[in-house]
Amino acid sequence: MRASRGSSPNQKVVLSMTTVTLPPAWAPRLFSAQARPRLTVVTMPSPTAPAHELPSLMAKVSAGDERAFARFYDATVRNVFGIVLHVLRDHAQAEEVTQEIYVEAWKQAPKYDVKQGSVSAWLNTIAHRRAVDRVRSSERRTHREQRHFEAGTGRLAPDPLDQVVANDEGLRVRAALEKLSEGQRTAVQLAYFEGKTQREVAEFLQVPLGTVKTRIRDAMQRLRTHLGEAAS
Amino acid sequence: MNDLHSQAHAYVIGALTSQETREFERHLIECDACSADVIDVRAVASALSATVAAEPPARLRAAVLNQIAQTAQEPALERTSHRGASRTDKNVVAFRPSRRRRFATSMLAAAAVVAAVGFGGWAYQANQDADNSEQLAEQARSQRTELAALLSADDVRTVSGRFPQTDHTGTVVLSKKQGKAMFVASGLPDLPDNKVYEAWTINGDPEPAGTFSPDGHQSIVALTDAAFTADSIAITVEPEGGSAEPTSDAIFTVVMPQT
Repeated sequence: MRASRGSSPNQKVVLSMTTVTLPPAWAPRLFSAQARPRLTVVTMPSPTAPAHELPSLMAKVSAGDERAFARFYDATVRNVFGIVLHVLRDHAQAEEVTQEIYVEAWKQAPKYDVKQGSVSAWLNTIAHRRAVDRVRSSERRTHREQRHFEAGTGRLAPDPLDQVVANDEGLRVRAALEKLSEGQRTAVQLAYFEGKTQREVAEFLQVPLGTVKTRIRDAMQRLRTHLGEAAS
Repeated sequence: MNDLHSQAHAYVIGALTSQETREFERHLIECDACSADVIDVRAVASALSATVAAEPPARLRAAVLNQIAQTAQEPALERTSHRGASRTDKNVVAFRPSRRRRFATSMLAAAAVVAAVGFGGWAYQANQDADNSEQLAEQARSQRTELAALLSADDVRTVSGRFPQTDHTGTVVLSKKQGKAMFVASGLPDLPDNKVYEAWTINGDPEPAGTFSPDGHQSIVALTDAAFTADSIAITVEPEGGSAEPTSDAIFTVVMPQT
């Protein structure tokens, strides 16, 4: 129902069909309108446990309840696997790192402190860091860059992940991303989804470092505002 | 400094180099505004993952559940008695070691400390007005500087546990390269004047590792080198001046990973 408030009529179509190809409101990984391919959006059933159940599941997980952990996994794994796959762009590695993340989450669960953020923020922080750490580890990085940048053009090769899973939350966030300027979106894209440092983003885009810093800060502040509005 | 304040967003989305990350985390220890920012921005960054949600293969679920079934959780805490019959039980290390000793990356672990310390820093400053003992404040500052230096070591490791009664986190921070180990906690209750907190390294029998009293709401104490080889670290409440062996139950225990 959140998505039905979205600005694009296409987003309504997404919710009523199993698979539909449409021009994306915001195509991940791509930098200019011309470069955006058509994006296949596949609707998925909602996770088995809604977000508001996560705190109580987490309490059981912290107490060593393996069955609760299975539900916790089911409720969170699409976002975790998605971000890891998006950063690493390699299915086998993404599986391996996702497994490490959940084992880490299992071990650290008794130490989770709600004062440091929601359960999903906690888990996704672990996930993103693990993925970025992996992507920054030396030779893999070179390998990946070679694989994903078309020689000579400096542009990204076609994205193997054009098929994304859409859900209410994903569409809501995507709508918020759509409200950013192109420059802000690109900066967040390169940093968060590609694991680049802001210096690397500046080099890649050939803009001053200060500009990238400002774009990232403004982008995150605007996202916070828009996501806050949508939630209320 | 001003520049550091503006880095919270970049920090959260992983856009800082490891060097910049360490600098920012050092700053976080002393900046409550940035600590609050980091928590807020994390929620936003976390939401971004929903835009790229992807269905993992079913075999991954089986592999994860299989592995966690064989992996011990790190204890939030464990009640320990050093006195009486159970003294030799070594029940502080009752947790079976996990098959794969893989601990959080130092970046992640340090961030957890920074978050904990960040809150302590806030409480500390709020209490500054009430407690205008210049000497204590100076001592606290130098401890925080020491801790910041330790956190910036490239081989820094952290091991956290919880205090059951107060529900606060205590963390052991170690760097072999710096040859230094410290214990840090936020929010420990003040003790009567004739009592102190005492840290213990446990490798068989508990050995005294340092005494401390909370300053403001923050507690930082340098530990003895035995922390590097201890099976676990515990905290008790002892008479002023500390004890040669524990005279009360541990209010905090954390099992140290073998390296």
